[in-house]
Amino acid sequence: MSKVYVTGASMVPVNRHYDMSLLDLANSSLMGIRKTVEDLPEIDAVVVSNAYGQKLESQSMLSYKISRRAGLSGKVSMTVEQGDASGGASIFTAYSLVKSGVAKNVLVIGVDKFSDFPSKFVNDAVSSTLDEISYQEGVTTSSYGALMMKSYMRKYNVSEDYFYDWAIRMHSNAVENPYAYLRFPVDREVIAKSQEVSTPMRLFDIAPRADGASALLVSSEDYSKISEVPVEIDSIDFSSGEPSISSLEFPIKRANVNPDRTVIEISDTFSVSAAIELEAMGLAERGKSIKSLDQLNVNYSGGLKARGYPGGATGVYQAAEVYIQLIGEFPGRKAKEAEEGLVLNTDDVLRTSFLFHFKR
Amino acid sequence: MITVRISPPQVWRAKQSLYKLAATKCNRCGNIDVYSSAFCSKCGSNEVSSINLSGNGTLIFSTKNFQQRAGYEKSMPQFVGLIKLDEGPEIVAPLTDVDEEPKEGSRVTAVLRKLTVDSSNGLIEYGLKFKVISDGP
Ligand SMILES: [Zn+2]
Repeated sequence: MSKVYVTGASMVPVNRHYDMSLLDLANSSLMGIRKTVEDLPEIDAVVVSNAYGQKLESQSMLSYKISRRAGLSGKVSMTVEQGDASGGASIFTAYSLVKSGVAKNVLVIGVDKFSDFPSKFVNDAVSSTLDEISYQEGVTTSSYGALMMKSYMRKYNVSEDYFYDWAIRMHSNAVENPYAYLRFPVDREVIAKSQEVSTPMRLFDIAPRADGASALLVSSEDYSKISEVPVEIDSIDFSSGEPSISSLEFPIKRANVNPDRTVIEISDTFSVSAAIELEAMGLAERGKSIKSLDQLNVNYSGGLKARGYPGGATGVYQAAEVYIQLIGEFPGRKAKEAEEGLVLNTDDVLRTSFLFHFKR
Repeated sequence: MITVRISPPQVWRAKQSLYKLAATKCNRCGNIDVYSSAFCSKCGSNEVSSINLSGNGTLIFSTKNFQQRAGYEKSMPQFVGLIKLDEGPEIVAPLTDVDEEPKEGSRVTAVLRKLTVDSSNGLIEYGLKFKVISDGP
């Protein structure tokens, strides 16, 4: 079978970009690709990853609009939506187009925007990913996260402060990443005193929403040399299903990698999500993952917790970060020994997940 | 988009699941899906029978939520429970008539309550919440 490569990536710093619309953000990520990929090949298809633009920004047909403004009219274009796993679904789509030979070069653009409305409207938009009845009953995704956290605390007999190390680690990583949203360190006291969101979760257990756009160029083997260091998408695993919160069972596949040589980005929507994901992938012992972070090159970006959470663009950021790490150009904390990369992109309450394995 | 809109047909359509716990039971594998579906979510069979759940269950644990959603400001802080229904399924649903997190293992039952009000035409949407009936066994 033919091989598929990532040959370029760009990111807009995650922030509250009051001066930029969804289209401006997308353009900015495309400008980043033009600046970093010297011989940009002809683009055969554009896949836009966006989760909340229809609800919050009243924008449909984003892929057409973005392509047209970028001078890519006439190319196949589509918008892919799967909540916060939209990025994973979009890259999967690009990978499939290239693998099948339908396209040689596909641009994936992740873009989303949260800062135009007060948080109660954003909470409403994000909660629309819940099943219809939960949504109509007024439940938020954070309450699902809080119940997951309680379940984890019961099962492994740990208290809230077990999770503090996640936020501390993510913030310290983000300090070094110029693309991160929250570039300041935090300590246990700050976390312990932070605002309660949904008990036992506090502000530092949840991901801050912000605006962002990231672009990824996915190419066939003939074009792999566009990238000075070719990075292959070796495999993609997908899993989905109804989780059991009480028994902490979630649809996440095991990852077969050597952690010493692998740089990892996971979807830490909540600090408990990080623990559940690392353990389900088999990268840490159950009930102990947050205490064994020194053994893993995980979320050097700062993760959703501190790089920030740009909605449906998140998965594209994760893949871009891992690609840039593997070509040795990540401007933040570096995984120097890494030869492989792992991206786990999930929705906010862990019902669907895409697991990407990259090799340089 | 920053208004709370209630669509009468939407509410009318959801009455089976919003006003009572309509469910389907799979004739092939026995799985119960809370909120009816033509197919079993576990095995995909279309041989399912409609059943009404008792609305009684046991609270596994709950959370006190401070994060507001547009249209639900009046029910803040909101208590949300992970509930094991007597028929087996586990659901996440809001609790009502509580001032603090109820004891784990409390017995709960579904009751009809106001959920939200349309911000322009005043239409009210009702739905199920769970009320504590005893501290449990
Ligand atoms: Zn069945």
